[in-house]
Amino acid sequence: MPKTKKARLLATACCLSIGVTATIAQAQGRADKPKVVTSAPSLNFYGVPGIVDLPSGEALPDGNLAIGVSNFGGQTRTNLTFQFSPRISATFRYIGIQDWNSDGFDTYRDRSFDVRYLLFKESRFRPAVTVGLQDFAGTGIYAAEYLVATKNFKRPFRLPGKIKVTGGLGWGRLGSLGSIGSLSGGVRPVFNPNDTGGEPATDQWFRGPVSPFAGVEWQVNDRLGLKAEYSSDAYTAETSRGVFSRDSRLNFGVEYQLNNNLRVGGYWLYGSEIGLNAQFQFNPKTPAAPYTVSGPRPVIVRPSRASNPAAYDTAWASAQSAPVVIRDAVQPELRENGIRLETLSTTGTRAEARVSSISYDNHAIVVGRTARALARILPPSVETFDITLMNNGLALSTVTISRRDIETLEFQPDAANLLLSKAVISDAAPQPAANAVKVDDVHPRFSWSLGPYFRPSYFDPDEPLRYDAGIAAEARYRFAPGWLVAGEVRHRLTGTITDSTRLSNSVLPRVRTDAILYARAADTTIENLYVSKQWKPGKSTYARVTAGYLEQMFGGVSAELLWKPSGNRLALGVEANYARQRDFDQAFGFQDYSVATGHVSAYYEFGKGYYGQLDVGRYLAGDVGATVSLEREFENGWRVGGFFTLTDVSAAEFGEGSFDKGITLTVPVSWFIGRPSRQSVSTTIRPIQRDGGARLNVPGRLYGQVRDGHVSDLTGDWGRVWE
Amino acid sequence: MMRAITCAIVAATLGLAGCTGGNDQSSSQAAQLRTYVDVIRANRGNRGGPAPLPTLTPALISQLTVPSLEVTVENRNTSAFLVPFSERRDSRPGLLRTWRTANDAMLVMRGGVLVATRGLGNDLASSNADAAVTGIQRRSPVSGLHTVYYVDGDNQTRSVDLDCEMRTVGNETVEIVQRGFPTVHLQENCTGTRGIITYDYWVDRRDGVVVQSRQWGGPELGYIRTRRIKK
Repeated sequence: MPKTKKARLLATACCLSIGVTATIAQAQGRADKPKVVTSAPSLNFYGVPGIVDLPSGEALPDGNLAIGVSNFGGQTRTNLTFQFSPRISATFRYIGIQDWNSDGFDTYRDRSFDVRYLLFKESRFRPAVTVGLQDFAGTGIYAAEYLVATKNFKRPFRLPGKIKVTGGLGWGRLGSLGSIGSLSGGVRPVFNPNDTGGEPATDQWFRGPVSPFAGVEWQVNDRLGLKAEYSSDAYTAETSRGVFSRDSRLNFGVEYQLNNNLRVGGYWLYGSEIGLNAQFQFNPKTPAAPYTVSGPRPVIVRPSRASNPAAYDTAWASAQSAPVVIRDAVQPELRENGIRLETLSTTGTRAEARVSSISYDNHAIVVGRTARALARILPPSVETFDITLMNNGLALSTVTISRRDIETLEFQPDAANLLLSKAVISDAAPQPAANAVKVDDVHPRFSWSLGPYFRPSYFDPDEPLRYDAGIAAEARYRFAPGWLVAGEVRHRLTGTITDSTRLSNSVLPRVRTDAILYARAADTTIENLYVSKQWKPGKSTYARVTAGYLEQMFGGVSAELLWKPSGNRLALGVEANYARQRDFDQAFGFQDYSVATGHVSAYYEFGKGYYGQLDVGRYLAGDVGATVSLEREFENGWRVGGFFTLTDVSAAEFGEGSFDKGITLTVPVSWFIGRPSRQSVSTTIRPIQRDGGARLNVPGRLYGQVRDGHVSDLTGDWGRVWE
Repeated sequence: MMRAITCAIVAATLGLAGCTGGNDQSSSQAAQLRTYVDVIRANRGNRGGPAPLPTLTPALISQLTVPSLEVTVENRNTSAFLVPFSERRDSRPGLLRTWRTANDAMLVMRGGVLVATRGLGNDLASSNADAAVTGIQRRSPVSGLHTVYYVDGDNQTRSVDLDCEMRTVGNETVEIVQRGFPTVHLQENCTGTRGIITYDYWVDRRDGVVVQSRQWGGPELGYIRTRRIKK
C-alpha cells in the first residue's frame, strides 16, 4: 500500500471512530496559542505512563511527580506516581468502585501500589521497555504484571506530530482476555475483596495466562493527542458484579494539554462507557516560583600588604575591647542579612563566627553572606574565617574559608565550585573558643502563632477524606542554648473524624487505632507540651532529651544519641523512650497503658540525594521489629520517600494491610513562594493505620536537624554561596 | 493580647490566615499559612507590574548625578534603571562594575559584558567572557569561548559553553533619548548545546563604553537589553 494511502486510512480510522476531525482542524488552526510543554509520556487511567487503560514502556522524566484522577463506569482511581530514579517508579493508588453491591460493600474502596522498572531506554532502533508490577501486594483487585515496549516515531507518514506505538504482554488482570498460553503454568489465586492483603504476592507474579495488548498514541501538536488501544483486560470482577458491561476490547481517547502541567482527556472505553482522565505532572527540581534572594553587599578587597603593611599589624587583637567592638559591627550587618550571630572569637589572623539562619533554608547562602560580612569588617590581618553553622544549640559543621579566596574568586568563572574546592568543611567543636564573645539577643527567643489548623484522616471506607479543623495556638520558647519549651493548644470548630463509626477492632494494644475516640472526647485539646534540651557531647556526637506531652496520643520521656561526622555517609543513633498513653480528652491525664520503646538506627546516604534508614527496636504496642525507609531528597528541600515496618506481630494480628507501610512527602515553602523560608510541610500517608509497627512521634529528632548542615547537604546548596 | 484576641476572632469567623509573633520564626500550620497569605498579598500589590518608568527626557537625564543604566529583561517584559553599587578589578581583563536597583536586583558587568546577575531569580551565577571583554576593549572582533554558569531550580550549577565568533557589524550612531553616540556595533555569534546565541554590543568609538547591548543571561533568564542613560 502506498505510504500516503496508509496514512490517510490510519488518520481516517482514528478520526472517524472518535469523531474529532473538527477538533484537529481547530487545534491546528489555532497556531497563535502559546506553545506548551507536552507531558511526555502521558498517563493512563492507572496514573502511570500509558495509553488509555493500558501501560506503555516509557518512564517519566527523572524525579517527576504525577497525579492522575480517572473515572469511567462508576470507577474512580486517584493515583500518585513518583519517578524515584531514572528507571524506577512507584505508584500509590486509591480507588472507589460504585455499584459493587457485594462482599459487604456498596462502593468498593481499595489502595494499591505499583512499581515499574525501565529495562531499556528508547534508542534509534530499540523501543523503551518496561516491566511493571501493578497492585503487587496481596490478591489485589488490580493485580497484574506486564512487559511492555514503546517506540516513538516523529512525523510518521508525513503526518504532523509524533506517533507512539506500544505493544506488550500482560499477566493477571492484563492476561484475563485473549490469552496465548502461560509461561509458568502456576495457578493464580483469585481476587478476594476481604483479604487482609498488603504482602508482596511473590507467589503469583507472572503466573497464569498471558495475553498480548497494544496501543497507539498520536500527539498531533503540542496540545492535542489521540489514543487508541486493544485491551487484554476482561474486567471479570467488575462485570460479574454488574459495575459496567464490557462490550469491546477497543478504547479510544482524545487528550488536550491545557498548560505545561495539566492534561485532560475524554474517552470511549470497552464499547460502553465514557471516561475522563485528568493528569497533573510536575518536577520538584523546577520550583513553582524561581528562588530569588536580593543581591548581597560587595566584598571589600583589602589593600595589598606591600602597599600598606601597617594595616596588617595584629596589635589590635591584644586590645581588650577588640572582640566586643568587632562583634558589635558584625552582628547588625548579619542580622540585616537574615543571619543570627551567636558567638564571635578572634585572634590576630583568624576569626570564628558561630551563626544560625533566621530566614534561609539554604546554608550556603548563610556561609557566603557571613564570609562577606567578615571580609567587610574584620581588620586586614585576619586571613582565615571559620564559619560554624548552628541549629538550636547544635554546632553542625565548620566551614573554613581563606579571606583571600573570598576577595579573589567572586567574579571568576564557576566561582561557586572554585570556592568549594578551596573551602574546608569539618566537624564543629561543641563549644566556641574560650575567648569567644556572645551576642546578647540570641537567648531567650520566643515565637508564637495563632490560626487555623487542619488534621486530615485518609481512607475511611465510608468517606475517603475525613478531617478536623479549628484554631491552634502554638508557642516556642528557647531560654538558653539547646533548650526549648514548646506547646500547642487546639480547639476544634468543625470536623468529620468524630462521625466515623469504624471504631478499633485491633487485638493489639490500641496505640494508634483509637483516633476516633481521641477526636470525640474533647474539642479543646493539648496537642503537645514539652521541654527538650539538645547538645553535643563530642565533636561528632549529638544528644537530646525530651519530656512532656510529646504527641497527640502519648507523653513521656525520650532520650537520643546520634553519631554523625560531618563528612560521613553513615550515621548511627540510639533512642530510648518511656511513653504512656494519654487520656482521650488530651488534657493532662494518662491512661493505664505504658511502654518502654526505642530503636537503634543506622542512616546511610547513597549519594545523589538517596537516603536509607534502618531502625531496629521495640514499637509502641510492645512489638519488636525493624523499619526500612528509603527517601529521595532534592537539593531544594523536596523529599519523597517510602517505608515499611515488619515486626513480630503476625499479619492476622495486625489486621488489614498485614504490616505497616506508607509514603512520606516534604515540601519546602520556599519552593512555592520563590523566596527564602525555613518552613516546610511534611506529611505521611499510610494506606491504613494499625497498631503494629507504630513509632512514637517525638518532636525534634536529631538526624534531620543535623544532616541539614553537614557536608553533603551543604555542598548540595553550594551553587548559591555567592548570592 | 488584644492583637491575639482580634486575630483569633477574625481567623475563626472568616477562616483567614493566622497571626504570628515573637523574635523567632514559627513553623506551625498557621505560621505557614501566614507566609503564603503574605506572599499572595504582596504579589497582588504588584499585580499591575512595577510602576511604569518615567519617560526619559534630556532634561531629566541632565539632572541625574550618577551614571545610570536602563535594563530590560526581554522575556519578563520588565525594565528598571540601575545605578552603580561597587567597582573593582580582579585577575581578569575588564573593570567589574555592579549595578543595582532600589530593591537590590543586581547586574555585574565586566568591561560592559554581563558576567553575573543577583536577585533577579534564575540568576546568571558567573561567566567566562574574556574574549568578548578584550574585543570590546580593542573595539575590534576577538573570537573565543563564552561560558555561562547558572544555578538551576535544584541549586545545582550548570554551565553552557558557547563557541563564539565576533564580527564588526559596522559603525552605527545609537540614539539614546535624543542624544547620538558614535559606536561600533560588535556582534558575537555563538553556538552551543542551547542553539544559537547572539550578543550585540554598541561600543562608543570615543571612550570604549558599551552604551547599548543585548546579552544572554542563561536559558531561563534569557536576553537582557541595556542602555547607558548616563555615563
